[in-house]
Amino acid sequence: MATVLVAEDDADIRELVAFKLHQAGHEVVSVADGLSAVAAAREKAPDVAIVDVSMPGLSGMQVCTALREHAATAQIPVILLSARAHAGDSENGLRAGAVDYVTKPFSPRELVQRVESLLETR
Amino acid sequence: MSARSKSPAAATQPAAAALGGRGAARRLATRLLIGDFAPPEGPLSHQGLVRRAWPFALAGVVTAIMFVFPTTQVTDHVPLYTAAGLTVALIAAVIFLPWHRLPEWAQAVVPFAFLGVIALLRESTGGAAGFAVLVMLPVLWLALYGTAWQLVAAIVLSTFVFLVPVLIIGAPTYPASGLGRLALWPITAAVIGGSTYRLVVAERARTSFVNGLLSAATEQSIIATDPNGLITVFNRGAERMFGYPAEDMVGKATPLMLHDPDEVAARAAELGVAPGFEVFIAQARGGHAETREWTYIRRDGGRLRVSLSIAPYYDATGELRGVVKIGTDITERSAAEQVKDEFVALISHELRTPLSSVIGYLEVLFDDATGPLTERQRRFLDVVDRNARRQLRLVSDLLFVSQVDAGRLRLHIEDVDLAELAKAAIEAAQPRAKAGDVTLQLEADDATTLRGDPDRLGQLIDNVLTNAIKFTPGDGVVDVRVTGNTDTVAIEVSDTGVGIPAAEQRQLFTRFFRASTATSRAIPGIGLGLTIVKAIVDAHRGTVSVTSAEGNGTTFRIYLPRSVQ
Repeated sequence: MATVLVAEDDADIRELVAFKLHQAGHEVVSVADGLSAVAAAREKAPDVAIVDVSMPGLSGMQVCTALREHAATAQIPVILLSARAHAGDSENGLRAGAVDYVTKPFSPRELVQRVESLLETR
Repeated sequence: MSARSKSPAAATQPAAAALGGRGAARRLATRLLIGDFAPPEGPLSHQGLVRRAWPFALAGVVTAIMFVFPTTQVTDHVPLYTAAGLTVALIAAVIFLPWHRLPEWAQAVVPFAFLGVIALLRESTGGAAGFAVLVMLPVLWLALYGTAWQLVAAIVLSTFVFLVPVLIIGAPTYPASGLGRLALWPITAAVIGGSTYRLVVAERARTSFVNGLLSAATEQSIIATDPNGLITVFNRGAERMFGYPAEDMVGKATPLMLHDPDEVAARAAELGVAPGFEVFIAQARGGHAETREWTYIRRDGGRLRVSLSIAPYYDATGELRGVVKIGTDITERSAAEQVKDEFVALISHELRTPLSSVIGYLEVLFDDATGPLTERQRRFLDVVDRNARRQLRLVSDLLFVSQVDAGRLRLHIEDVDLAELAKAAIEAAQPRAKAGDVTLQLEADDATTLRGDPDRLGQLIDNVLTNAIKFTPGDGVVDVRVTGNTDTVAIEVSDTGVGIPAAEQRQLFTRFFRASTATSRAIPGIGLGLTIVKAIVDAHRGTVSVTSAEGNGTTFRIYLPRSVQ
């Protein structure tokens, strides 16, 4: 069992991801904006973070950068979630320090599999 | 010629030299025959005046040589030396005086003074040495460049030149034939001078008519150049567009200075030529006109988006004389297009988000093994899922097309096996083919690897294959053949479907175009599939063609180079 941070401003998607993670037996910390994501990451020290790219406040990229800057959160692997399918976006995301980039619409089943394979390699 | 114009001129000179001696000889002959006495194309330049005066200098030299021979009897040396001195002074004046600061009539002083020289020469030889023919030169000069009154004055004065020996030496010693000449000359001069003058006036009227037309085009920049890139025409519209006055450009600059250097370099790389004026004339050399979008840079540094047509123009002998560049400012239009693209991108994003929820929750429902889904519920949810995905595909296609339009299509190039992609596409299309009772067949060579974007090429094959299945009625066959050649890999998709009417085949790749065979059978689609295929093929520098006969099926052939340059 692991703790997963889910930062997503769309409530339906947030609930969907949380539901699948719960179902797989993980603890979920859900937040709806970038600033809360950074705060929750410092407080809860999650094992993995799933972060939406376009959120109010801080964007997913900025959250990524903010996490990298703090020693306490620098090691948290981040999966970026985006509705934008621009070819350059995934590169920007990976450059910001994300380990994975998932384009919406995504398969919730696959997302959970990615989280678990990340947990295994740690 | 400014420093700027020198480099392209130098670059094209070897090419001109390579044209061979025949062309050069013809050009030299043309110049000797008419070049220097031809009517000026623009306002008279200092160079023009020097060129115009050289026949006088030449006549002076020939005259000097004539005096060496003993047959030329010099009766009086004083006027001879005066004539020689005057000639030298005239030539010096032509070369050194700042003519452009003097009024235009001042230039007429030169031919009139030359009339004086001829009179002195005749006096020094008693009119016997045949210098009289020289009076043709000043008369012709004034017919070409002078006013009507100056011409009349020259004809009258030239008649006096014939009279000089008569007046000074006296009639009895004057050769009898000279008197006849005295009577005939004014008539001859009036005919030759008058005809020439009328021709010149007509030519000037034509030139000013053409210039008037060019100036009237104030909304378009019209710039003509010679084959080396030197500007020969810079119309009112160009002055307005750039903020440079024509006199600063014509004969002094090249259009290169009006362009974004990065764009010129990029285009040069595309054409495989040096990044100079050659970029604009390369197509023209092949006799082609082309219209593209370019960025123009104003004198104040402002940038304009222009739609620029570049066309070659030729002289009467069919030799390339340069190019004409006609530009229309489309800055506002492209800004509007950008707004549209951003709008489409935003809308597509907003449409994808709710679809993500629909498709994601459906998956949860399907996966939920403990849930009480009946078979019927499952079937209905399949319909929901299928339609959500179809809508998602439409949104993605729209977004893709708007990206292509905005020039934002980026390829992620790697080694791709086209046969593998075709196999995957066929597997993915299998359920749909089965539903439509269509058989899918794949035939592939071994060496079908190329450099390309696997996602985009997959999308390309999907689109062509989906179309083929969609337009093939039950009990049909879709053949996919992937073949590798030395430089290209080809994929061919043939179906036994409804075909495309010949008249519509040209429009196939136009966005939102749908063939009548599609609409009449109510086959769903919005007409973006082949637009996307074409965009992906173009991005890979490949070609796509179609052969089809209505009712007899369709074949799409796509050739992709093994390496994208």
